[in-house]
Amino acid sequence: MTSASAALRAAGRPRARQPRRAGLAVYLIAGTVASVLFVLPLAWGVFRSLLPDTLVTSAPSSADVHHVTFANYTGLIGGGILHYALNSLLVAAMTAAATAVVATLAGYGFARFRFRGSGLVFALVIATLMVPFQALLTPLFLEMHTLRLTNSLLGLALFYTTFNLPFGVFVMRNTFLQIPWELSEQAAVDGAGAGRTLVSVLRPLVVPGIATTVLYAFLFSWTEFVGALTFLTSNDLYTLPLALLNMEYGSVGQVNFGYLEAGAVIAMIPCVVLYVLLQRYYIRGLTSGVVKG
Amino acid sequence: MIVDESGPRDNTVPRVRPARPRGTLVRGGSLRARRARTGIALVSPAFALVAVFVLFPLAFAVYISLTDWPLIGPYHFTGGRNYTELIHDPVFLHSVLFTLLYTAIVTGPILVLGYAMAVFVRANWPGSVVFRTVFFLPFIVGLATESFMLLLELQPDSGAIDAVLGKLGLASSSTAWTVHYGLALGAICVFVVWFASGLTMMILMGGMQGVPGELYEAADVDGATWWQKERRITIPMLRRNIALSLIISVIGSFLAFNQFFILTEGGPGTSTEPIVMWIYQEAFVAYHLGYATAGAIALVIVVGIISAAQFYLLRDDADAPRRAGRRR
Amino acid sequence: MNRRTLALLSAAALLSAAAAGCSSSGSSPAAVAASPGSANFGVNATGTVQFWARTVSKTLAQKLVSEFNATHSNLKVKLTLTSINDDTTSLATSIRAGDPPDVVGLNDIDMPTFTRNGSFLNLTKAIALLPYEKYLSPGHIGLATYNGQEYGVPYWADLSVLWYNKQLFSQAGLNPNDPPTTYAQILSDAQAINKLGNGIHGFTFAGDCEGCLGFTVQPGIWASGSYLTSGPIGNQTATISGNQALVQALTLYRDMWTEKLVPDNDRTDDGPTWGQDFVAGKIGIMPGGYGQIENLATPAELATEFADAPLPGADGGYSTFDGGDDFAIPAAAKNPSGAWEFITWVLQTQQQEQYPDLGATPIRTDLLTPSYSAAHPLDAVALKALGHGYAPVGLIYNQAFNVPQGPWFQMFTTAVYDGNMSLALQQGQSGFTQLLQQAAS
Repeated sequence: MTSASAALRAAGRPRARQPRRAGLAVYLIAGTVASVLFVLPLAWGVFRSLLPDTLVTSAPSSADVHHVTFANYTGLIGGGILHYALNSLLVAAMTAAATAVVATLAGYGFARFRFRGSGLVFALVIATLMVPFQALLTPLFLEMHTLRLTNSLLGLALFYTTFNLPFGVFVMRNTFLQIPWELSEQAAVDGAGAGRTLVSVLRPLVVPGIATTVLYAFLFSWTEFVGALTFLTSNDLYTLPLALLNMEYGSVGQVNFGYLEAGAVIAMIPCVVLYVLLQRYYIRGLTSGVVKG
Repeated sequence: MIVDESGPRDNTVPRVRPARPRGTLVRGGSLRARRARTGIALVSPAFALVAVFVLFPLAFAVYISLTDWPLIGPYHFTGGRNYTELIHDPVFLHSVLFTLLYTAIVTGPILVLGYAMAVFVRANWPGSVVFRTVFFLPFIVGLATESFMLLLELQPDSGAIDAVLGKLGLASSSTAWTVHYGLALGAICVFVVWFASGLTMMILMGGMQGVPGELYEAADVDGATWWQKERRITIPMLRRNIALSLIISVIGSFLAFNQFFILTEGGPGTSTEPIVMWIYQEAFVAYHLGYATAGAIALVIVVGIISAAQFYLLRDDADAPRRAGRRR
Repeated sequence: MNRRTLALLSAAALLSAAAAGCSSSGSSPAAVAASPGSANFGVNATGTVQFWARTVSKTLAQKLVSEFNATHSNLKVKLTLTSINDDTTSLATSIRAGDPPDVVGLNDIDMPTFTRNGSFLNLTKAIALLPYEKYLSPGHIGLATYNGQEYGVPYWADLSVLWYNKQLFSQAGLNPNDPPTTYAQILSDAQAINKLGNGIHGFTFAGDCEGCLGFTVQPGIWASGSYLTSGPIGNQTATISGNQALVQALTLYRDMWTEKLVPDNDRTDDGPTWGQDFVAGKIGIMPGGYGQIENLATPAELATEFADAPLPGADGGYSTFDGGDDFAIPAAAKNPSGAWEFITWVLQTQQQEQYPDLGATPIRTDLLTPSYSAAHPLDAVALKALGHGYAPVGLIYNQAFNVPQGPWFQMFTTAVYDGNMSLALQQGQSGFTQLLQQAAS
């Protein structure tokens, strides 16, 4: 603790941690209004998903409430949507895991070690962010086909992992850079190797970064469409966005909006769940009281 | 140099602590080499993936851009002809200008709104977790799905947006949003800001929580206002996070495709066609893959230059392993 | 670059080279004797057949495949549905990679792109052996033909017809069994129905859906013997300027728009909700697809409320857009004989007669018997038009007609919404000419 905060405590002045009642009320009201505005379009979409297809595409009217039905959901589930959701889950999980591991290793390497060419390699990894992979689809397909990675969920996961690396590596490198050097030195003094240092000492500080990386990678691969469309050629392996598209589209380009809205709601659920689960890693403060002296 | 003999011998931990400022190479070749090798080992998986899935296809794509590669059938090497054609292609040039305009409009609001939301939710007051989730929700649901939902609601007479605006008397309930340039662009910009500001909020919030509380308390003692605290403490410490969110946002805007494809198909005419949509048209409708790839390579270069400029302008002097002994 | 990475890269490169060396490009020995025209081609084939069908034909394809597999013990078909907007690209990429399917159901207007470069097996001899050869849809065959050789056969037809609402006709004092046969009649019938008010309109069209418009507006032009392009591939010209039939068609739609005989939100309908207002009973007349309305409406509505007629020309005659798919067998297919056995099975009368209930029209004109007309009155109309059907043979269909930036839609909007016919024709002529020249080079 710095002497300033010690002085503050001594002076008895309250720390600005807990809000006062009036401030809290204003905060809650403002927050609720903002949240309602933000979530309104999505809530409306959920409502539309409970209407039969013919009503979904007509002007909204209060009479709609009487026609609420789960038909869109049963239709989608009957069409096998859960199987495709499972495919997506598998790919997203593999992607999130692989991205977390690779990005953490690389972030640690870039932040803490010096070696020739590290700047260039870092730049190349980050530069991946700038590449519109729609432009690379044909060469990518041909290459992946030769490597036997097309039409495979693993191949798709590797592809997704690569395109999540810029974000992940950036975040993890940032995380490691923010950690005081003394920590790892302390660990070295205590006799830990680089691996053990990473795992036991740095882990609590590093976890929020990993949580961010995992979340982003999961969301990216869960909603990604173009890559899945290109690299998956057999229907069994289709991921959720592909399957939804095929279920939603009739002939002549007609869209079953009821299915679309219901599909959106189904797709939302795992993401929100994962997000809420990872919340607690953000709440913990980073540097309070860890470094002594 | 201070040699630390106090612990058991260990290969991977430096046993010397540099006492001089950064820039002085530490002698002791084998240790440096070992650390260098460890570093290389750590970054290899990432680099391998990027090499296989990005660099190699990119090189292949550069080659394709120098040919008249058709959808199917034989192709011929044409050198730089695709590129010279690009510069004179009015549709391509328009798409570049449109993309720039679109990026210019949305970047600021995304950052400002994201920052405001991050400030709002960072303090862990009651309810902040719910707010945080709600603000991030649009990003979670995904742009493509939400574009379809928006398409439905932008329809004249049957969409919710016209219904609401009509009831409030702000606009005719038959406004056809998607077939007028100004209306479509306006609607899409608002939509994208709503979608993307949540991500900015998350990125900034993560950084904000890393700012030591004592700094704020010290500033409070000096009687700083809220804005002064933000300007002097938060923003400088968030440089890297701001940089990341700006870069992601700008690149995302440059590579925008889904929302335009779904909502306007680039219409009316080609007025709302961004660059990636131009690439899509040339590659998958006109089947001029060589030409389309040339446009894609040009896009990569432009985005690269802009991102490099952003990195440079927003760089942090500590963008290298920190000087020993100095805490931020 | 550090050595380890270099090693990794080289490994990847070597792997690619090695894999390419012992590649999968159709190197499994196909039965040498079984080629198109030989007696054992498509007879008693064994193994699996990889069949790629378009998602729009999902119901049809799934039914056909499961029936085939149930009745054939030595030959099984494995169905893959290709996604919207991706059909041709995934086919082309798979051919480039040397790993195409055995048989593909390809959008017929995409056939010319593939027939001219040896991507598909030449099926002329095999087709000549079919007993119903001369009854196969001429439009579909035309699209599969290149230099006099046939590289595909018709699979299913997606035809455009003139739908109308019999109940609204009666209410407006029109004879529900006397659908319009000229543009003038369409216009007057629509006007009569529009007077019913109450949210009812006389006509409807998907005003922001260029592909839908190409599908439904062009047959009227063809019925008058006129076309928008002419000439063989590689030497085509645009015949837009001075095309009277085209002017008449665009004028009809302009009148519909200015006289408010169509709902306002037709202007922004780009396809997803096309036809829903008709099926909801609010529209008098709607040019559309047979399968489109067959899918959207209930059997009861199809039996009593709605009816269809061939799309007429300005002063009579009729035609239809020969949409749908052709079957093709990629040249590098591993089981071409099995593919042909499946194809010929699908073309049999018994299978073709199932089409109407699955939202498709069969592709053999000899099926139009009195009993067929009695069993499927709505599809019989379409099948009759099949004999007069057409679809433009060229390399630019998608670019010209299926994107909003294309000259077709530009021409339509200038003529119908802006009311400037001469400018529209000018833009159309120069736009089409430019595309044709690019494609020919």
